[in-house]
This record gives sequence, C-alpha cells and structure tokens, in this order.
Amino acid sequence: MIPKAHATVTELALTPIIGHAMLRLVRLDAAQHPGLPPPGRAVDSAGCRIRWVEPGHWLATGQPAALAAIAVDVDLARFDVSGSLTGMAVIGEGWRELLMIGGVFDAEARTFGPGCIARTIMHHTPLLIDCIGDDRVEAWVPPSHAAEFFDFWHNTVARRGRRLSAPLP
Amino acid sequence: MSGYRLASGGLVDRTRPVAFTFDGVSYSGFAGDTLASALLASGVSIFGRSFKYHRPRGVLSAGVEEPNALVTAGQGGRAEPNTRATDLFLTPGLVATSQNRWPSLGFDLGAVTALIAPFIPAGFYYKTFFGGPKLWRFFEHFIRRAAGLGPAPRLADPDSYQHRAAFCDVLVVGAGPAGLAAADAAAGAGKRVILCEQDAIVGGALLRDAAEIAGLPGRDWAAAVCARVIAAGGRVLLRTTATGYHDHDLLTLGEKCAEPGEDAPSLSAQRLWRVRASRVVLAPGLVERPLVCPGNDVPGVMLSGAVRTYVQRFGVAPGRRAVVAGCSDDADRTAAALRAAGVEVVATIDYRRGETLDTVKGGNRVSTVIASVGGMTRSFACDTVAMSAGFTPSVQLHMQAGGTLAWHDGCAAFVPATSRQAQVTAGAAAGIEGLAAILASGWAAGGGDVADAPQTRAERHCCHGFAPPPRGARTTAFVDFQNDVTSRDLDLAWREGYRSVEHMKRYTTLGMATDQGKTSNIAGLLQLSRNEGRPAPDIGLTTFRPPFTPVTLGVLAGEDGGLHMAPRRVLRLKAQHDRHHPLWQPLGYWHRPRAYPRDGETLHSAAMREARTVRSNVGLSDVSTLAKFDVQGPDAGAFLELVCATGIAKLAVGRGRYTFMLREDGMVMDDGTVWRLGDARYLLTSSTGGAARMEAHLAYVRGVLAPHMRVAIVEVQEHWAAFAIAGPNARSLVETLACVSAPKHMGCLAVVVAGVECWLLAASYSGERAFELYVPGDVVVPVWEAAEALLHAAGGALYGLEALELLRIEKGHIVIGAEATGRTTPHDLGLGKMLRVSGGYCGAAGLARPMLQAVDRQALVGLEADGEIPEGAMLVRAAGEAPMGHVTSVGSRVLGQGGVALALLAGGPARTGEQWLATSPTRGITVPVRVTAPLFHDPEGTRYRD
Repeated sequence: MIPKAHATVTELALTPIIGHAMLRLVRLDAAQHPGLPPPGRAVDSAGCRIRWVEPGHWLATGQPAALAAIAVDVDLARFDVSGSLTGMAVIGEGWRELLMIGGVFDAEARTFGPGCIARTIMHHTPLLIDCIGDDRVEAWVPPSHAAEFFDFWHNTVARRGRRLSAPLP
Repeated sequence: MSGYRLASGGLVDRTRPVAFTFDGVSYSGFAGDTLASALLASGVSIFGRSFKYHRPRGVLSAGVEEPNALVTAGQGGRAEPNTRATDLFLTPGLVATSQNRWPSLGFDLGAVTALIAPFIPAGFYYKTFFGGPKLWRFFEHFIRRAAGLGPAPRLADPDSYQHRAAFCDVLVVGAGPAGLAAADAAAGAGKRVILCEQDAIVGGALLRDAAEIAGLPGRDWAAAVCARVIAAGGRVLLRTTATGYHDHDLLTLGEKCAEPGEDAPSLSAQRLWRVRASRVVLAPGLVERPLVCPGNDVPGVMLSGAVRTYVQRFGVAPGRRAVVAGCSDDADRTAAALRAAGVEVVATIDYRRGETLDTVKGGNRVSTVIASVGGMTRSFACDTVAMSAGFTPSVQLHMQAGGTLAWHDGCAAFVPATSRQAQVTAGAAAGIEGLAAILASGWAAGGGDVADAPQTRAERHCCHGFAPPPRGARTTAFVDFQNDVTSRDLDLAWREGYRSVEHMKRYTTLGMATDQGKTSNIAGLLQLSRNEGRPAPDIGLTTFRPPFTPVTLGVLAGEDGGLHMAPRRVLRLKAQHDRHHPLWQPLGYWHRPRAYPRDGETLHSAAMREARTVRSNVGLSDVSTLAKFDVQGPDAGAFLELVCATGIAKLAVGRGRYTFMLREDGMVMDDGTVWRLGDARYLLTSSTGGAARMEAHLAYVRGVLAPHMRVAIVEVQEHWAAFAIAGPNARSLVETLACVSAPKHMGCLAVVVAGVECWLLAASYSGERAFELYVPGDVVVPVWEAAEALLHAAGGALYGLEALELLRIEKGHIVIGAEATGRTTPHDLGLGKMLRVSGGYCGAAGLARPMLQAVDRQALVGLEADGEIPEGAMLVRAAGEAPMGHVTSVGSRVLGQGGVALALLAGGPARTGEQWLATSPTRGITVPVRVTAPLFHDPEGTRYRD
C-alpha cells in the first residue's frame, strides 16, 4: 500500500502499554527455532505476542500466566526481562510519519506492515517497532530512555507539523 | 535613477500586499516577492557594504549565488545573519537589516578602507602586524571588530528544528525543466520519487522565460508534473536545498518551513531531511558569471539573467536606461525583455563580435559605461548594466559524491564526467543546451524512453560562451564580490609565487566566502590559466564540500538543544532520590546522585558525611546502572571462562567472585563480578560506562570465538535495578529487610522483599560488609522504600557517587577509565595473581607478549600527603624532570586526616616509601607525596567478612 502522503502526526494518539510481563526466549545454538516467528516478524500466540528481535532471540509479551505456558525445550532458554523495556502504542494513520522524524528507518516502505518488526535508533534511543496494524504500532524502549523519548514524541505530535507534500504551485 | 515596479506582469500576487521593513524603513511588496525584488521595486539601490573595502553594493543576482545583498532577517534570538535578500521571500512584518556598516548603510565610516585599498591587497596581513604578542593583541581588537559580516544573535533561539529521514527510489534535485521531466518519468514508472527545489515555486528557468511544453504553457506543465508525482505517492519539497551529497547515496536536504526571521511558532522553522536514494538525478542548473572589469560592483550592475528574472518573474524593472553586455544569445533575450518592459536599452555589447565592456562608472549607482564597440571606445549614460560572462554548471553535488569533471569548451567551465555513486546529472548542469534537449536529458535520467520525452517548440537559444579575463589589473575589477578579491589581487598572488589553484584560493580568499565562489571560481581559474599559459582544465578546481549553501546551526542540531542537547537516561528511582535533593551527576547519558547535601553542606562535606556513615554505620546507594548479563546454558561456565580472565568454572551455586575481562591484546577492558545463580545460570556484572562495549564483546566472543557453545546471553541492565547496602550494620539491615540469614561475603541468595522476588549478593566495593540487592526494575519502588525506611531507622544515610569514590579509593579498588586506562594489564594493576593459571581466556595470548612483562611499566600505587593531592597531576622526582607517572584518582581519608590517591607510576610497587612530587603545571600546584601500597583502609580485609 502506498503510504498516504497527507497523513500528519497530529492525528496520532500515544498510549502507554502497561501490565505486560516480558520474556526473552533464546536458542542455545543461535539458530531459528521451529514454531517461533522468522526474522523481522511477530505473531500472536495463545495470549502472547512473540517477536523476533535478533538471530536466535525472541521477545514475548503478555500476561504472566500466558507467558508461563510457553513451552521451552532443551534448545531454548527463558529469561525474565519484564523490567527491560517500556512500551508505547501509537494509534493513528500518521504513525509512519512519526517514525520518520528523528530516525533512520524506512517506516514508509510498503513492505513494512502488520506483523513486521524492526529494531532501530531514533532520537539517540534504541527502539523496537512492532507493526500491529495499518493504524497501530507499538514502540518499545529501555525504561531509562522512556521519559526523554516519549517526551520527544509528544512534542512532535503536539507541534502542528507542516504537510510534507507541498501544495501545488 | 533606480528600479521600479512595472504596471503589470510577473508572477507575484498583486492582490496580496506584504509590509516589511529594511533598516527601519517601512516598505511594501507582494506575496511572491523576495526581499531583493521588493526593495528593487521600491527604488532601493544599495543593499549592503562589501566585506573589506565597505564599497556600496547592490544586488547582483536573483538566486542563492548572491554575493552582495546579505542582510540579517528577523530580530532577537530568531535573527538570521548573512541571509541572501534574493533567497528570502517576504512574510508579513519581516524585519530586515543591512550588515557590515556603521553607522548606516548610506554613510559608512568603514568606507575609509577604500582610500587605502592599494596598500591592503589580498594577503596583506601576511606582511604586516609584526611585533611581539602585546602588539598583536592591540591589532587583534580592531581586526576582530572588522571581521565577519552579520552579527550572531545573542538571545536564545525560540524556534524549533526537526530531523527527518526519507527513502526513495529516485531523488531529483532541482525542479527546473530537466528535473521536472526526470521526476515525471520516474513517477510514471512507479518509482518512489522525491523532488526537491530550493525556490518557493517549481519551474526554474521557466519562471523567467516562457515556453510551451507538451502543449501547455511552461508553468502549467510544471504544475501538472508535480500533481502527477504527488498522485503517484511521491513528494515535492519546496524551499528545500540539497545541502550535501554523502556516502552511499545519502543526501541531506535543508527545508525552510518558515522564512528566515519569520515568527511561526506552530511550525518547526527548518527541517533537515536525510534521504537515502537508490538513484539521484542532479538537475541544479547553471550559475551566471559576472564580467570582470573596473566598476563591475557599482550598484545597478547585475547579472543578465537576473535582470530578466526581475522583469519577467517579479514585474520589476531594475532601472530605466540599461546597457546589456554578454557573450551569448542569452544576453539578447535580456535586451528583448527589457525593451518589452519599457526600459530603454541604450547599447548591447556582444563579446562574440569582439566588443568589450571596459569600465563602469558611478558611486552609489551606475552612471556611465565605457565600452569598446565597433573598434571605437564609446561612453554610454545608463543606470543599469546587465552583464554576462557565461554560465557555470552547478557541479558541487556531483563532486561531493566523488564524481569527476571534464572541461566543456562551450561553457568554458567544468561539467560532470564520471559518477562514483548512483548520481546522474541532467539538463543545463550537464552542459546541454536548448529546452528540447534539456527535457530529453531529464526524462532519460528519470528512467524514461527518450522517445516519450515531453516535446517543446521553443527556439533553441545558445547560452554557451565566455568572456575572457581582462588584461591589466585594476583595483576595482572584482572577481569575488563577497570577499572583495580583485583581478589585481589574483595577478599579485601569481607574481608572489602562489600558482596552484589551492594556493591562489587561500592566499587571496577567492571562493572562501559564504557564496563559496559560485560566481567567481571560474573567473579566477581563467585568469590563473592565462597567467600560467596552461589550459584551464590543467589548472583544476578546489574541492567542493558541503553545505552547498549556508545552513543554520539550529537545523543541524535539530531537536538536540537545551535540555535535549544530549540524551538523558533516568533512574527508575529518580523520584525517590529527588525527595532528598541530590546533586545529579552526568555519567555518560545516565544521571546519578553524586551526593545528598543537607543543611547547606558543600559537596565535599556531604560526601565525607556519607562516607563516614558507611564506615561507621550503614549506607544505601543506587547502583542500578551497572551492566548486567544473564548467561544460561550447559556451556555457560565455559563461555564465561573465555570472557573472564579469572577462575569461573569452580564457582559453586550460590557463590560469586570478582573478575576482570581483557581485550585480545591483553589490556584490561572491564571488571565486575560473576555469580552462579544455578547449575547452568550465571549473572555477570560490569561497569556502567562499559556496558555497550561489554555487550559487543560478549556478542563477539559468542559469535566468533565460541559459535559451537550451547549458551544464551541476554543483557539485563535495565531489567534489574540494584542498590548497595554497605557498612558495619548492613548485615542486620539486610536480614531484617529480607527475613533471611545474610549470605557470607561473595555468597548469593534468592530472597523475597516486599513481596518481590530478588537476588541478594554479598559483594563489597566500599570495603565494608556490604550487599547488593537486585530487584526487577518494574517493581523496585516498594523494595527501595522498605530498605530506605530501615536505613533511616538505623540512623544510616543515602550515599552517592562522591562518597563511593572516597570509599573505593581507600580500598584501592580500580575504576575503568581511571586506573584501567586501556593501556594497563592485570599485572600493572596488581591483579596478576588472580589470573587463571590454565589460561584460555580472551587476551591470554596478547598478555604473554614480552613487552607487557617489563618491570619498568607503569603500575598501580597509592599516594599519601598531608593535604589534597591534585587529580591528574604528573609524578616527578624533582621539579623540571620528566614525569614518570600520573595521579589517577584522589580522595581524602574518610576516618582520618590527609589526602590519599591512586596513581600509575613507572616501576610501581618497587617504589613504595619513596618521596615524589605531584605537579600540575596548568593549575600551578605541586604537592610532595609518599608512595604507598594502593590500600589505605583495613589492609587485612576483616571488615567485609563475617
């Protein structure tokens, strides 16, 4: 889908994600694990959302009971990382525009859509982007960066940005 | 005689007047006017004063190449100096001020320098101002006042700026005919297109010269192309200049969302685009060259194309009696446009017929032109001169991209030759003449079939040509208008031996002003070529570097200003710390409490109180920022034995130890602790500042040195918040807090505190009995508050980084960066006995090098003195001798008197007992010190064990 050229960041809502536990699942041999999403992808499974984050590493979020039910085997190690990331849901069609400001990732690419994962740097902050739907994306950052980073986003959304497609001459 | 607004014509909106001021005088223009066009229409002739001679200067051009008409746009913190009046569109209430004059533009005392011009040619300062430093400081006062053009604003900038990324298949730079055709072709082929144009409207030369393209008037065709690009999902960015072409086809574009000086609080004033393109079409067009002759800078002398632009686009006649002098058909078009506008063209001087413009006369305005016409010297009374010495293709971006150039005889200039990146140059900038050919080249550059290129029936006007440099040097024949470099200066430089183009540039400052020689580089090259008797291509050009036009520091900074100048990493427990009003210390991006002063305490007195409380009672400190790694798997122990240089494998479950890690070259990279939490699970901690480095190192060891191991490593720095509880009463506090028997020193235990599952680690950095409690960061607050309540009940104290420093220095505990400098081995730091005898750790081979075993290497020692020891001081035997070491960390005896320090000293421990001097020449301090063992407290180590 060609991104709408006229969607602006002022049409966005930013909502903190709270109440989720978080697990890191890691293959002991750094290989792809059957049943877990391939590179760059995320899946919903039994009350959890499981995201590929790097070769042999997946991040699962959800209610503690659902995470506890995730089966592991001799090849997979579980790490409780609930305190490692803080999440923010970005709701609205202008999320692609927001992700282009202060960043280096092509959030406007037609191929980056629902179910896609990206890890990038934005405004000096390491960021995990999870595209949930056409009008929703979740952003996860280390808690120490969260105040500064989400303040940057709130300011960007609050300031009435200029339409990025200039009016015709 | 001066300029005036034509009764009709132009592209300005005459239904929307815009009021502005220039030097405090109110004027009015129209929407679509630049400051230059509006002032010309108002009869203003003088726009500024030249840099060195303070000569009155009018506007020379109509674009970003303008060297003369530099103004300060806006006021207060929003003022933007050195703004080209030709690149500043009117906004309501614009306040513009002329520069480089005192007391006024009309009467400038600086003009006295023109009287001594023969004595201050280019490079005169290399031959004057000799004498001692005091005499130079006298000269410097006047030179600094004379230097520069516009004043920098002194107030804070109220505007905001933004950085934005963008990606595309085709980036087109320039929205003239070639660029528009390229964008049209690319968009039609389904490519992601970004078209950028530094002007406020698209069209380029079509805004000056009417033409029919694809059956439409040129401007209508341009609008239709933009509509097609946008409909296809592309972007058209106006007021956006491509400022730099960097590696891997990354270009920076500077967008003016608001005009300089405009108060537009709801917008980001400027935006920096970082565009990564698969293909770049450069269609930046041409820059016209001025003729070099005496008086070519008198107000009223303008570039021929600029005159036509003011007439056709802005509906402004620059004067009433004009002389047109040029070397191609383009000058003829200017003469025709002037006549059509009712301006009398008193003469046309055509260099193709051997005619020359010899001298321009006038003070504040052109009055007469002396020319060689028809074999005779003739004089023409006029108020305007439209001159052209040819056109120079804009090759700056092509060169920035690493491209090469080739000489084009027709242009008498360089044109792009080979490309090193994915750029292609189209249109006039590639040396192509005629609108049809320009359209075809743009269309092809955009990936289209030339057969499908937009068609035009416009006449083919030849714009190629050049006027040779003048014979005979003159002091008022300007080559570089902005830096006041004359033809005489170039000849002088050549006679004095500066005969390479690089030397000519730097000796004369030709091309070194804010216009970067856009109108002067080729003229200088041609004159040097004539003096050298070598072809111009053999002379070459200097290097073009970004930015193409000046950019503000604000847009380069983007959002990173004020409190956001650097990222701030905030502790989970910040609110809890803030209750005690700590002094916050930046530590990289982290901010940590340095001390918690009470009742007017100084930093030192607060730190000493906190440290003494730890030594005598109990203290609580937030150490959450430590790097932490959770290591699991059947090979976890073996993996850590690769990473750490101490023994690991024999650690029992529930035990830990101090460890350190080496680089491959054997130098100490980091230190920390390792804890065995389970059969196949370890927790590794290391320094805060080295967290990213350690994470990368672990990934390297895992992926390169140990790909065969079955091990998983996860960085958990922020998952675990941590705080230290230290002091003689730490054990009782911990046992009350966790309701357990405290583990022995270097033991670890899973505990529950305030309903939260935590890890209790018995480790000491302070030298007292101490524990670290690791709590999941998202639930740390109740645990901390429980610990803090017990702390205060016990009469203990929070302690910060300053107290921590005092405590660890007394114990001789090293810090990465201070003692572990990256050039110190474990042996240098007294850690040699801890090395794993069996080896096999990363860095073992490097450590075995003979040079690292030398006995005279700098090694860790302690220093003591009666008073303070200056930090960073050099260690010398006697005054004047070469230093043989330096002080790495300084402190005070916590429970005693006097200063203590750690240091690195050649020969190290063998010098125990010797007297040295710690000297700091920059601070003028020298203190006698005595070399000791690096341990000043509890040498037996009894205080941190049960």
